[in-house]
Amino acid sequence: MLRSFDSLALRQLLTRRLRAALTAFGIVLGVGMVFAVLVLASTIRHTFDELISSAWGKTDLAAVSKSGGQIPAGKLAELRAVPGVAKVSPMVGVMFRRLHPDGSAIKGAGAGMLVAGIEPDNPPYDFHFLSGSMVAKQGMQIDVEQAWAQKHGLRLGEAIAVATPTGRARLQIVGLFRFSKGLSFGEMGFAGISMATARQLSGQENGYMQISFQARDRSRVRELQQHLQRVLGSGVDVKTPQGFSDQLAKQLQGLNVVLYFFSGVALFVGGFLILNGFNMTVLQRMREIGMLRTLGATRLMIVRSVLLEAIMIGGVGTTLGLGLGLALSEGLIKMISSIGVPVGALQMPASALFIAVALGLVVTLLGALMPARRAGRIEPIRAVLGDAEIRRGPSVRRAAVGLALFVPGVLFGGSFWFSDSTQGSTLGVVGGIALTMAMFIGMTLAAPYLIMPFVRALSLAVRRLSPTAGRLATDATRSNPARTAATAVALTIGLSVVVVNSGISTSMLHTINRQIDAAYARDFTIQPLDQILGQSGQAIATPVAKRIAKLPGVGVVTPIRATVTQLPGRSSDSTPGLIMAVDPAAWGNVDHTPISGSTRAQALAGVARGGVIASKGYAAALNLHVGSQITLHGPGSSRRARVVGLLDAATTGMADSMQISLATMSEVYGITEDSQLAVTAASPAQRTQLGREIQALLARDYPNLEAASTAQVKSQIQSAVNRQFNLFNAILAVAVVISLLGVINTLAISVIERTREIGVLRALGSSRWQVRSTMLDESLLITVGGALAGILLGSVIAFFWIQGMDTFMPGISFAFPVATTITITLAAIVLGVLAAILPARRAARLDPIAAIAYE
Amino acid sequence: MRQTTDTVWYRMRMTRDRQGLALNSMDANASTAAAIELRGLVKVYGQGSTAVRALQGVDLTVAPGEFLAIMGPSGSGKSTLLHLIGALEQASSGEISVAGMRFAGLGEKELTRLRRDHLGFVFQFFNLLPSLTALENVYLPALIAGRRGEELQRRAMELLGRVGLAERAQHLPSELSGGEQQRVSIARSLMLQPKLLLADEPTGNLDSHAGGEVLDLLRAVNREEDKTIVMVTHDPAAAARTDRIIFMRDGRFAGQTPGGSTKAVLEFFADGHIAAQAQAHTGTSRAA
Repeated sequence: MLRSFDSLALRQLLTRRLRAALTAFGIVLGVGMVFAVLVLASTIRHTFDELISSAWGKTDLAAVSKSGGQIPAGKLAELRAVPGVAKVSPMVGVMFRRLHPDGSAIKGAGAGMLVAGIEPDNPPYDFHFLSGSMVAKQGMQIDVEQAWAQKHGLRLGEAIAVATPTGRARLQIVGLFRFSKGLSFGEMGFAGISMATARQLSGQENGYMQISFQARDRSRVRELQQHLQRVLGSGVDVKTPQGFSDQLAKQLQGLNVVLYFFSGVALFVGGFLILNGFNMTVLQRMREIGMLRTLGATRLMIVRSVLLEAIMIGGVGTTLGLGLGLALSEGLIKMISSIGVPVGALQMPASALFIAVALGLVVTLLGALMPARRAGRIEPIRAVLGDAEIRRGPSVRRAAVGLALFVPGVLFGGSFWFSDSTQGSTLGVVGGIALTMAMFIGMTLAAPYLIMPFVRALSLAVRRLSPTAGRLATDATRSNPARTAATAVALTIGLSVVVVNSGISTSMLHTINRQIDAAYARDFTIQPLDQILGQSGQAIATPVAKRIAKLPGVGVVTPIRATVTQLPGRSSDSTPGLIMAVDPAAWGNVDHTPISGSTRAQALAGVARGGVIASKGYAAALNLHVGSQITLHGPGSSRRARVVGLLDAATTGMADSMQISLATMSEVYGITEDSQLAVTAASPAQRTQLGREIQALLARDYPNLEAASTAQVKSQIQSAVNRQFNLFNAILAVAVVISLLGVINTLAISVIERTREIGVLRALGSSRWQVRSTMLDESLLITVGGALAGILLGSVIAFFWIQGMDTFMPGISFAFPVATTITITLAAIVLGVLAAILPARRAARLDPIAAIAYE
Repeated sequence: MRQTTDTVWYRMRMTRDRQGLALNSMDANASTAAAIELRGLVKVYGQGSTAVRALQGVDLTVAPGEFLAIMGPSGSGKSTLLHLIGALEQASSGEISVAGMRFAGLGEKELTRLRRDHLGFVFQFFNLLPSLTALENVYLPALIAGRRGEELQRRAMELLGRVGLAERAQHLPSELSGGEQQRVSIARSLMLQPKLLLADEPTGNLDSHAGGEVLDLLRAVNREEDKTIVMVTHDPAAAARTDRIIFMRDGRFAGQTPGGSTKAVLEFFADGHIAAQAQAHTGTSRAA
């Protein structure tokens, strides 16, 4: 029983269940995506917290080289003497890779093991031994984290074959442990060996990767921290476990912002669906609303009734969205662990729940606000005149406002998102999001002018293909351009972001490929498997270079030693850059990266004297030029260095990068192991043979290494870039699905509106098939028109944004995303057909007699 | 002569309705006030060269308790007249007062209130909410007026009984015939006990049998509950069931005749009375 006027809203909703469901689904997906991303972000954060606190449960402070290098071994005695220190536990880090029984390396992250070389009686971590009571004390003994061991079928007492930096080894599992909170490291394995064994297998003769401390008095940790920091110098970070956790979280902030933004796009499009859905419901219910007004309902009552409906749709949509979000977050977690971020068990904080619910309801209400106001303005006379739709031509003023909002986002959005000076900063994030959102709203306002030209152009083709059905479909889309555009614009926005995304990734890849082609004068790159230059310490032991140099047909073998860290002058939470050390005498033979500010020979001579070649983006951000001085801080020492040249390319894919000599790297950063080896053949004729020789050597003795041709290096970079962008595209795909629902909604209404027309057509002898094809044509006009506009806009945005990325990636130029464009166009056709299925069936099934009588 | 007819008509009605209750407490002369009073009513749609003058100066007085039919060809202005009386549209000029209340100067809120409290509408297309049962449709106006409680349902049931649909109370409009839907809509129009019912082609969408039932019902409501009814119709048979029929042509009053038999109405057309009366009323059109 209807109890009050307000409960009418619920009744209305229940009678239009399918429509309500379609409208709500946009919110379900949008909220789902937002919630999934929030859950993902907090899961990652929680994983790091747990990882650090469970491993370092009893540790009060830890010291780690900022640049990933070694803390000099000589400091240890000095540290032990610091007052207030109860315990000092040093650690040597090394990476192993498990081998197949045939001796070849197992690929993929799951085969990697982070191995800590520790003093067995003085472990830096909270090991809880589950089986085996003895910590690996000597020789080829190893303790393995039990969850990982179980996953890979490793048992106590078994021997595992691994590739180490110095070659193959077999280690016997003598202990299985877990950390105090039982957390595992995700894909990677974690293991402990004795310090002596670690030194032997890693080839690191001295120095420590990390030193942990326990304080005598836990209330005076801060003082101790300052004291230790003074002893270790500015090249080393001394922090509490929480401090490291916070730092990691800050570094992930950039990724989070991008994820938030894309999920925001999905919700924005969901809000659009609400707007369109309610607009149409209101137009369709004009007679009814007019009647309510004649019965004495006030404007306010009508507005409230529409908003109530919206709240109910928003409430149901949001609730379902939360459920969907949990499922989506599982998928996202899989994707994000594929880009190398460790993630543990799902975390669902109350704040995420609150934000997702609040956003869902607010977006629904905002979407319904305009239609509600429009409903309130419906005159009582509509009760008599009926549901005549107010057909307005597109407003020029609206389009002008739209253009004004669109242009700044196009021109400056790129520099906010990617520029060196704003990237990662609050200003950059807020500015980037504000400009981009304004840009979308601008696109929406100007939509009729953007989309209708495409629809008109397509109309010509459609009418040629099917004169009758095409004509009717064309008229339907044109009779109300505002509505056609409103339907298509959701798709346009979703797809334009996809095109921007892939335009940027395509341009980046093209640029990197082009620059690698121009810069790489080497024939082979020897590198650890699955490893990007400079990232997390899997190294190549020194003997490898010597052994390759002895192979017949070798021209030059020269090492590259690299570390990823904040460059001098950058704050500790900014995006890290790459420090790359080369042998200035040999480097010119294997690398032709363009250098500006001086000649290559001069620059390399400068590097030999302790100078630095800086990347253009880094130099621009810190206002450096040839002749400027910077200070390098490392765990070994600090020293002034002169900028001797500027790198004109971004072959490493990092905005911040610099080149120094091997000597500087060792003295300042304590890094003495090779990250890569660049190898050339003595003559092109010997290249193939040399390649075979190297492969044979690596397969025999160093299965964790590979010899990649330049083409392979390029394809590795490509797949790394694609993995990252695919994550974004997965989120955007949800936005595209939402906009598709909008198209279905519009078409469904179109059928209802044209019931009489369809009846007349059927009475005049149109076949069901012809009616169907009219609906199909209309759907295609909307989806393909919207998609083409999206491609055009996306390309324009990507083109301009890339101009602002020059400091991020010097020499970047726009490359049109051909593959994406073709995919999107084909997808739009498929989507158009899919969207038409239900409405077309409904139209075709209309009984002509009843349809003609329909009012 | 014009003055004479006006006066005769008015006196006739007033005598019959002397016992009529005050329609509007704001009006000191409520008991003697006309149910509807129109003076010099003009309605123009659009502007400039495309302007359409739907009403070109209409005067009309309807006595309390009168059942009036308005007839005329399409575009004659009869519906516009009804809409202006129902405060569904605003007049371009002229004066309207319903139940002693003048529309001039009333704001949106007051007009809404006026519609709610004093007017009942019956439409050609019934305009029932498809999601509500017959019963709920009937008491919807009370909910809109902010009333609640069991009482509403009892009253709505009574009204459904009154229109002969007590057994169909729980049916949705889609489960009712056209005639039944129209009877539900008449019950709805009576829910808040307005003194004036405005019916726009109430039988226009019904077969003659159902149309006859609806007219019987309107007549009964008019007689037994003392409701003033203004009905726009195309159907001479329907018009014949009323007290008085006025004819419109080109936005002007074009003649009037008492109701009675269909034959009399048709004869009135055939005898050219309308044309004759219209000629006599050049300038302002007047019927009272």
